[in-house]
Amino acid sequence: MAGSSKTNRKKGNVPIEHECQLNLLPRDIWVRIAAKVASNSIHDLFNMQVSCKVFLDAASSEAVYQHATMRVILLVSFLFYLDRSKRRFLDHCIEAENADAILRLGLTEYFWIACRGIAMELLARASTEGSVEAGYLFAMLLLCDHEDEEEVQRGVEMLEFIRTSGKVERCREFFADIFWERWVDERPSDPRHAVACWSTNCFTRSTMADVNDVSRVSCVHRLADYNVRVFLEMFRFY
Amino acid sequence: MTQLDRLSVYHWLNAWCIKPVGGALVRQEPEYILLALMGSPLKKIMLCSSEKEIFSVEEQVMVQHSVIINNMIEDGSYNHEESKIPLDCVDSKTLKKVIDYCTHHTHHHNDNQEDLEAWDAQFLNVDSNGLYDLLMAANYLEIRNLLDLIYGTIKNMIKGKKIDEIRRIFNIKDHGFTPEEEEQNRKEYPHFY
Repeated sequence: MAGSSKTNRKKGNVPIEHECQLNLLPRDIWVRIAAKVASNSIHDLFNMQVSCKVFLDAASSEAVYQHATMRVILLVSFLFYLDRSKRRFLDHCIEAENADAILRLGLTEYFWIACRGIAMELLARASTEGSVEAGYLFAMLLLCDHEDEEEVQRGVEMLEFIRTSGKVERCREFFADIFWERWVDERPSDPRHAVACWSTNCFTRSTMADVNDVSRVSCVHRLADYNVRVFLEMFRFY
Repeated sequence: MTQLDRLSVYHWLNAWCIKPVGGALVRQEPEYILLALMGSPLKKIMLCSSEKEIFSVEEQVMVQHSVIINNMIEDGSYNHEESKIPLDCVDSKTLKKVIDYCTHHTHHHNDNQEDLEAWDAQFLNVDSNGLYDLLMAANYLEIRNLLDLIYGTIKNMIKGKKIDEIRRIFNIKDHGFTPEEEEQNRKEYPHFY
């Protein structure tokens, strides 16, 4: 793929036929291309890495790990000790603040390792890095696990933000796929009692149990309660 | 009227592309409307390729797309009366293609997405040398949308390809790995599926 344009090709004692043509482009261009490749398929990323040293250097940069897709990576990869190369890849992704990788690590910490504190920190971090799914899960767990009014209110506000941006359904589908027919060692607490809303403007004061048409409900606390019910339905035990 | 004002008016007119003619609204090319409003021809700039060939281009076309040229016009380092912008790392053939891309996307940015994508696909139907040259020119001139387009094309060239195929596509004759390193690479391939 030799360019015909005049470029700043190296001169000196290096025989031209042994120069890598890819070096004619700045490294940051290959980094951006590798990041695009990684966001689509890590299989393609690995093939790119082992094609040549120029690609290996570019495809091993932080920007690439930050955008690598986690779509095909099994959750078990985050749970059990893997061989060094696999562990190294996931560690690089987490260090590079790959939101998807951090979300999955948070999932395993909460639902299988039962470290709720660490899990919530990871989910908050993934949410800050832009993962809507992490924000949704974080909000749900705040609403499920906390009696503290401040934390519950924080969960309500986070969920309301996601709800008004129209992404709740997408988040539900994401987690429904993850938890479908999958045993979890630790499940979220069920706030069995209704979180009664004392607002005089709220027309459904008690619970959402008898509400058939969610679209008619405007109270954010009632909607949060409804979303918690739907969320807890995802956990199926056989 | 400042340069920014002219660009704002241009975009507004481009969005509507209409002018009253004998009581009816007629679609017109925005540059002619601007011509009528401004009472002067649209400004041109001179780009000089590595082969010293001069290309005269509408200023707003390049300003809209190239960060480098936009900065040169805004900071006053380009003199319309006397200056050419030398592009020593872009040959004539590539420069003409870059100008075609910027011109098309300026004058047709209201076209439907399918038509634009079809045009882009045809535009990038070049051999690997040509693609490489376009990438370097777009990078040099900082034409972001052209860069994104080419990145996507190269990503698709790699998609689903094995190592030997990638080396063939990119003409990688010397991959730089020792035989031991190459063997180690293959052993370390993580199997996540």
